[in-house]
Amino acid sequence: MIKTLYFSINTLNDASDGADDALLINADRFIAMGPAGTTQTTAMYFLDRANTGAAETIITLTHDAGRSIEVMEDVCEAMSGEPRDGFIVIADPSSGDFCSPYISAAELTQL
Amino acid sequence: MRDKYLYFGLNAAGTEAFDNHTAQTVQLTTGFVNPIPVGTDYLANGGAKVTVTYNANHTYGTAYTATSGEIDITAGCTIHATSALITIATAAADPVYGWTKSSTGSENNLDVTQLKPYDTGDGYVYNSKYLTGVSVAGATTTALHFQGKTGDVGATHDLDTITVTHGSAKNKEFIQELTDVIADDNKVSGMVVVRDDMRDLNLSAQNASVIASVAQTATAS
Repeated sequence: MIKTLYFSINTLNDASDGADDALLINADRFIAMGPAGTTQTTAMYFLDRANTGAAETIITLTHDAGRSIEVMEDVCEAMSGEPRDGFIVIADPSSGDFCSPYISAAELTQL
Repeated sequence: MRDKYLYFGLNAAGTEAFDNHTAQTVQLTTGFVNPIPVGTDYLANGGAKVTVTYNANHTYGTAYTATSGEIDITAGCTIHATSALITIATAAADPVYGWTKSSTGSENNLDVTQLKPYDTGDGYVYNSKYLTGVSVAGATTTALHFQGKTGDVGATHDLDTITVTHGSAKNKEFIQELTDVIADDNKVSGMVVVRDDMRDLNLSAQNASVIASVAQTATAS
């Protein structure tokens, strides 16, 4: 099964009216995840979506203070799921759909 | 075989001591963790605990019944949204969870201890898919090599190395404990703690390899 992870980025309204408003990335490209330097952020690191070989795709999740460990547990639980269509929503603030009750937003960094 | 998500808690808990303290507030500094914690829910969400060494000249809320040792008074504490100033409710203001300091400063010894990770590098989850190899690093250490989280790949690629410290000559036991988890599609799901230095958690209850700590180095290509 090909599993994919869906994020809408920094938008509380329309997730499809601008470049990079949303991102679907193959779950196979997920490398690592960890607290991101504040009590309210956790970063997910992926192999670069453009496959340039010397870059990275980072999604930073915003969440309740001190909840990084719970967010990581919830994200891992979601990624371990096997939905029939392989479509796994991690954070979609545009529709209020999150894999964790503590997540409120997602931000994309493309290096 | 499905991917497994392996957690390594790398940093020990941050702590800050406030001995001989004369105020009903404590101001966390970067000596606790750098950066200081933010968010008014940080304490309520279990991010840290505030404890005080019992003294008969303190006044305690009814929730606290111990008359010796360290008393966890976190329930009576609030933290500022951005400055990390912790205010402790007095027992008069909060008869249940409050605490009132002694008028003698030398009788007020408080500690704040981190309970959950938040700083960059406090801990990482790695996808077992990117575990590229495991090697013995020494009699008491085994190195786990992962694709670097920087994502750099190609002729040379970044490498993240997790070094697990365990009992002497227990390398093989540790590797087998790890591969048992990675290979088990029936019982293993979600995030698996391999070692968490902050919470003192280990891979298995048996802990045959006597895991003691973990560290990480990142090598750029």
